[in-house]
This record gives sequence, C-alpha cells and structure tokens, in this order.
Amino acid sequence: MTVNPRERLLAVHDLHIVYPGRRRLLRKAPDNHAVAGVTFSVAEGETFGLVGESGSGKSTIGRAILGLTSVAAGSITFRGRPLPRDRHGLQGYRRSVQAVFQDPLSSLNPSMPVGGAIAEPLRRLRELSDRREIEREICALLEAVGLPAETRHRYPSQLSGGQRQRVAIARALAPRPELIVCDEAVSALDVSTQAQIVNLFADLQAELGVAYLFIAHDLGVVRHLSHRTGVLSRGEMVEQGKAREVHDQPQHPYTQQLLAAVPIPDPVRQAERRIARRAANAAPVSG
Amino acid sequence: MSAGAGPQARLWRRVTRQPVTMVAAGYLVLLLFVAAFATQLTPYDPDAGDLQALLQGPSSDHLLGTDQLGRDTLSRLLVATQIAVIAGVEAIVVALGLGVPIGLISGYVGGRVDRAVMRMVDVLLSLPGMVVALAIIAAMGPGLVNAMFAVGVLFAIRIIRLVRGTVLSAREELYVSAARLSGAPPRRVILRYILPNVSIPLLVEVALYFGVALLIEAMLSFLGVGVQPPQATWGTMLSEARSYVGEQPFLPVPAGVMITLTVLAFNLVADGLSAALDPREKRRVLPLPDAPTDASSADEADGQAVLAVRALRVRLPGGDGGLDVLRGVSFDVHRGEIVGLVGESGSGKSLTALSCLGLLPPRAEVRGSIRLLGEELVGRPEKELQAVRGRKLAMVFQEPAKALNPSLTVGRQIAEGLEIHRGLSRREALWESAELLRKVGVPNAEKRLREYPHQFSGGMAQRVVIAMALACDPDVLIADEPTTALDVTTQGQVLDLLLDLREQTGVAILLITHDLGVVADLCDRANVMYAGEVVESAGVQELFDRPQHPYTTALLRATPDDQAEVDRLASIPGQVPRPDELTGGCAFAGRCAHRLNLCSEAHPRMIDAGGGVEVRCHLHEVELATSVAGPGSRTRPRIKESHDDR
Repeated sequence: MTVNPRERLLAVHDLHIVYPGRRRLLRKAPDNHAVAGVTFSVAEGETFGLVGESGSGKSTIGRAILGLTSVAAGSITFRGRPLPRDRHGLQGYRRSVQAVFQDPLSSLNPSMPVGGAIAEPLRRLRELSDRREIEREICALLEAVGLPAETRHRYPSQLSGGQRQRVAIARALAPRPELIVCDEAVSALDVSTQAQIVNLFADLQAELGVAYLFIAHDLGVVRHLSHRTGVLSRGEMVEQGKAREVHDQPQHPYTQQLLAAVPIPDPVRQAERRIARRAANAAPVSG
Repeated sequence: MSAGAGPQARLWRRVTRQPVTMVAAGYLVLLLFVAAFATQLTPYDPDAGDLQALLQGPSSDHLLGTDQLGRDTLSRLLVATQIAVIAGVEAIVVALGLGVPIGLISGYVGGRVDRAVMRMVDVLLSLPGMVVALAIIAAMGPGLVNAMFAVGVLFAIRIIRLVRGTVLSAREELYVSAARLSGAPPRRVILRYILPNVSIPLLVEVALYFGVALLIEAMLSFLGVGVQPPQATWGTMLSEARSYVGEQPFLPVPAGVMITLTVLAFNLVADGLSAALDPREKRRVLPLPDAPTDASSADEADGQAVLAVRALRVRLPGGDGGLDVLRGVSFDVHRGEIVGLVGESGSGKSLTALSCLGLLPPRAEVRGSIRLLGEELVGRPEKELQAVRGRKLAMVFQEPAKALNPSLTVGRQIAEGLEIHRGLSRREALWESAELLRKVGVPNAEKRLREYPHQFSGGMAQRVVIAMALACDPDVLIADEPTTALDVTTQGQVLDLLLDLREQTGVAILLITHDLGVVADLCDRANVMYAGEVVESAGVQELFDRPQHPYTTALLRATPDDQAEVDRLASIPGQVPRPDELTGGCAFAGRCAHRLNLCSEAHPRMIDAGGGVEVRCHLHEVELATSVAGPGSRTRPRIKESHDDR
C-alpha cells in the first residue's frame, strides 16, 4: 500500500477552532478550544486516518473541512485554494469534497426514498436535469456500491445498517468527488458488515482514485485502511506518519497508551498486553 | 411509488389498526360529506318558518322538531354543520398559513429573527386567548370570517412554537447536513428535508385545533360576536334555544349533541394519531406464559452454575404469529466466572440478558428455563422478580448516562438500592455508598456522592452504575456492552475494574459484547450467538485458537488485526437474517462458504466437539459420523482448513 508522491489535495495548516462559551447573565463561560493548531495534508488518492478519542476534535476538523463549522484561525486549502465562502464557490467545492457520516440512519432523510437522496447531488452539483439520465446515474451509483437498482425506491427504515451506509456512500460519490471525509463511517456497523464497507472503501479508491480523510476512533480499522495516520489528543495532533509506523512503533506516549488500551482478539497476547498496560498505568507518567 | 414505507405510510398503517380512531374518522368524513351537500340534504328551507308548527318536538314531519319560528331544526342543523366546517377550515388555513412559514423561518434562520419572533409569541401566549381573539374581532368587526381569522391567529402562535422546535432539532440531523453537502439550496432543505418531518406532529395538532375551532366558533356565536342570527350555526342555535328551553326542552339537544360529538371525534382522531406516532407499545399486563414445555433439559441444569439458562425461547409480537427472537438458548455461568455472549446486532444477545432480568417487553412469550441459584425465574410474577433483580442479579447497561437519574445526586441513587434491598438506614446507606464508590475507583468518594450524574465523565459514570449494581452484593452481574459507549482508554479501566471485582467478590459476570477483543481480554468462556441461538460455546483459548463454527471463523477473520498485512478484510457476504426470514435449516447457511445441501434443509443440533467445545453445525455432525465409521479419523474437523486458506 505504498503511494507514489502525488499532488497534494487538501492542506490543513495551523487550524484553530473555538466554540465560544455561552454568555450567562454576568459572566461568560470559558471558550472551548476544540482544535488548537492542527496541520496535516491529504494527497490525491490517499487515505489519511485521523484517530482520537471523544473530545479530541477529530469530527470538528471534518466539519470545518466540509464548510459546516467556522474556523477561528489557520487555513484549509483545497488544491491550493482556500475554502470558498460564497454560495457559488461552495457549490463548486462540494463537487470535489463530499462526506459519509457515522450513523447512516440519521444521515438519510426518513421521509424520502433513498433514490431521492442520491438524486439531490446529481441535480444540484452535477446539474443533471434529464429525469432518465438521473435515474440511470442512480442505478449506476447503487451498483457501484453493491446494491440492486430497485433499492432506490426503498425508504431508509427498510434497509439494514450496512445497506444504508452503502446508500450514503453512493450519495457521496454522485458528484464524482476527489476527497471524501468519512466521519466514523464504519463505527456504527457490525463487525461482518464493517468489513464489507471497509473493503468497499478500498475498492472504490482503487477504481476511482478518490482520497479519504478517514476519521475514526477504531485504531484497527484505521490501520487497515490508511496510508498515513494522525493521532489527535485534546485538539492537538500529537503524532503523524505512515500508518504502519504510527501503529507498530508509536513514538508519542499518548499514542502508545491508546494502542495499548485496544483489546486484541487473541487471549494469550491480550493477557500479556493487559499486564504490561497495568504496569505502565500503575507508574503514573502523565496523570 | 413503492409499497409505501415512509413514515407517513407507517403512520397510516398504525392508525388503521385502531378501531376507535377509525370510527371517529368515519364520523368526520360523514360530517364533511354532510357539510358539502348540506343545501341538497335539507328537507325544508332552513330559514323559512312554519307558523303552524312552533317549538315542536321530534315527529315524522320534523325529525328533530322545530324552533320558536317554526323552522325545521334538522335543516338548520345541516346548514349549521356546513358553516361550522367552513369556519374550522378557515381557522386552520389561517393557522397553518401563518404558523408554518414563520415557524420554519424562525427555526432555520435563527439569530435575531428567531429572537424577535419568539418574544412576540411569548407575549401573545401570556395573554388569555379569548382576550386576544376578542381584540382582533373588535378591530375587524364581528362576523364569522373575522372571528375565525382571530381563532386562526391564536392557533398560529402555538403552531409557530411547535414548528420552530421541530426545525431546531431537525437542523442538527445529519441528513440535513448531508443535504447541504449535496448542494441543496436553503429553500429546498427547508421544504423537502425539514418540513416532512414537521408534518406528522403538525397533523395531530391540526386535528385537535379543528375541534377547538368548532368549539370557539360555537362559543363566539353564542355570545353574539360570531355569526349573527338569523343565520344558523351551532352556536346561534344554542343561543336561541336558551330562551325557549322551558317551553321545548328538546330544542337545544340537537346542536349540543352535534358539538359534543364532533369535538370528541376530533380529539379521538388526534389521540389516535399521537398514539400511532409513539413507537412504544401500549403497556398491557399479560397472562404469564405457560409453564416451560420444551425445557426438558431443565433438570439437567448444572447444579453448580449460579445462572443456568436452558432452551430459552422468546417470541415477540409482530409478523405472522410473532417473531421468534430467541430460539433455544442454553448456557451456564459459574461462580467467579466471566462468560461472554458474543454476537452482532440481531443475534439476540441483549434479549437473552433482558430475559434473565425479566425485563422483556410486554407481550413477549417466554419458554424454557432460567435458573438463578437453582431457582426458576421463568413464569415468576413481576413482584417476585423485583426482589431478585438488584439483590441476586444486577445489571450494567451500555450507556451510563441513561442508566442514571439526572435529577438525583449519585449518592442518593446508590443509597436507595441499599435502603430498599438491605434495609439500611439513610445514614448507613450513605456511608456504605461512599465505600462502594471507593471500591469502584471513584476518587474523592464523599464529595462526589453529593454530585449529579452530569458532573461525571462517561467512564466515571459507568463506575457509578457498577457501584449501584454491586450495592447488594449480587451473585450474578449482567453487563450489556458495558464499554461500547466509552473511549478506548476508559474502556480499559472499566474492564480492569470488572476483573478486579471478580477477584475480590467472586461475582459471576455475564458479559454481552460484540467486541471480540473484549472477549479475549476478559472472558473465561464465550457463547457465540447468531440469529437467536448459540452456535458455538467454548473456552476463550479454544474459541480463538480453533474456532469450530464457520460463523465464528468468519467473524474472527473480519476483525481487523493489529498484525496481519492483508489488503482486504475477510467479510461475510449478506447479512444476519431477520427472525421472519428464518427457514427450517441452519440460520447461517445463506452466508456460509462451507454449506452442504443438508444445511438449508435441517436445523443443526448443538453437538459436543470435545475439549469443552459445543458447536451447532452440520459439518461437524458429518465429520463425526465419518470419523466414527471410517479409519484415520481426524480430530480436527475441516473448518480448520478454511481458517488457514487465505
């Protein structure tokens, strides 16, 4: 899984995102510095894994890249150009950058057949208007994600979790994006389904050359799918590098702690890891 | 359109199953029909009096009698119905026309617009509705149209609040974000993505308001500020009847009955709609299931097991004749043992836990046997189960935040169990609570007892839940995905805690999880569940080293490993069958790479594969048969080969 040096697609530089504290009657609650100076980049056709625990700021970074959250300082550039602010520019940007979210049930409109969800970007972003052409495209996209064409008439509630996530992926693929932000895109799925979707992501990348920013808390999945990995802790990137290196020889104590905490499906090795982890935790390093 | 499975269609299906709602709705349809054709249906001219027949009771000439001017009451009632319906429609149209757009905009735009709208709404709502209506009528002059406009404005204020609230929550939905990312302009996001989800709760309100509008119309006309006599409306009819009720007591009855029936019908329809919207089943006490019939193996229940489940079957209402969600689950948990129930969603692992606790949804049919310390739990009345729950059997749920009461201090919640189950005094219970918190590793226990659940992080809250579970020194602790909602470093700490508690107290733990890593970390033994039954039961070492069932093998291979250098994960094609899709054969047959013809025909038995391993698979039966019959029997069945084939 080595990548040739390719052109840089997305560059995030010294990104800061601040949620202002709520104003109370007399005093203001302190601001929440959700992301504090994060820098990384994603190359064409590459998968960059962004891991961290809850509150690490990983999803906030994803939302900022999608233009759904405002940025306090720093820059996000796509192909060298800053994130557009006007609606017209944003429409163009969304043609290139799409998203797949965690919970496929809540990311699909319950009162719209799934074909409608896929038609939306075809109409708005690809600017198709011919009904039959849209219909054809929907079927092709559903086929690309391994669903029968009839699925387009179904409602989200009639599909399984894996099928819904396939629909969400088809919708993201519709405008032919260069980058898809996958925010915990497989964490709500069962193991056997998760494996199917992880493989689908890999196949689509091989076929279409799409890049992923793969945001997840599951280190196993990120290790499997990413070329490079960045580890976030409390809004800061503590370590980044080639996925295998970060996972197999973690440098930063936080990464080490994180990796040591993942129970692995092997009782003998897990027992050893448990002893090692408890010994490490007993000697307080960072509190 | 497809068979109609959107929320609207589902609502319709639920409503049509409520006879009372259907009768009420039928009445309203009839009412609309009468209103539409009122002028054709009247036997007499409603405004022409017959001076020969004043104030008559019901007769064959005048079915509902006549009034003080000799006008036919039935005819007047029919015309009045028409006016009532027109009035109601007007009020609703005004209410929706004003309320929905303002609510949508206020909720979606937010900020200053929203604040201005909401302040105005607050002010209007703080005045009595009748005063507002009378003020509008005073400004616009009396008459039906103006009166109902006023009523519409009153309703609009409430609808603004309802719509705005729904929009605010819908705005945060991922599908709205997704629609924006798909390039949908704001107008389309509002109309196509948000409005449909507002429409269903709105429907309930509209039904309710229609009834109220009729009532208000009658009231205003009765007071003389609505419709003016001689025009017939229910209100004016009542108002006029008031003066002559002494001479003809029947006179006010028709209009009164009409008003009552109609408003009642609207309320019943609104009730029916909101009941259909509520996904919870109506609570109903059900007769206990029969004594266990197919639990013949119950006597074999291991004497030493603290928890012994045998041939547990659970059927939930739904489908044709119910869904068999558990189809004969058997396992044991011994003292001091941690036993895993592993499976994907739909495998029945959580339902098994709920069965043990007697917390199945009402109308669930339970068969088989669940023995706790030798005592049968199946078929025991709720009261007796309550005594068992918490004292001998305790539960830790997935989301600690939902398992704790947000409005009570943590100390109060732990102490309550101690007071009820162990009869401690308040002070003793509080002292004991602090002790428990220390035991589960919550620092500053005394101080934290006085805090509320929201002041605890996820991991700390789960420790509190575990402390509550341990309060009465239970024999068995059932932990349903206790760490799934927690971060991985916190998960490690909570798992450590469970191990330590087992060491210290000897409590038996039934651990329900989908995470094979957690099983490897904690369990002594594991039962792999698939589609409502246990397909493999083995010691963890055996399970991970030599999985016997093709499903276990596939599940292990689908889990991303920290060492393997593979490009593709081994996935299992297809998905877990739903209970209504199960046939007579093996539930896994459709997804199994080693399927024999036999597999889709006959249901496999649980067979002993040696070494304390039991497996429910035809391949093993075949293997067993050939190894007994032929020479050179292999100890390792052929699944092993498939495990290594990639």
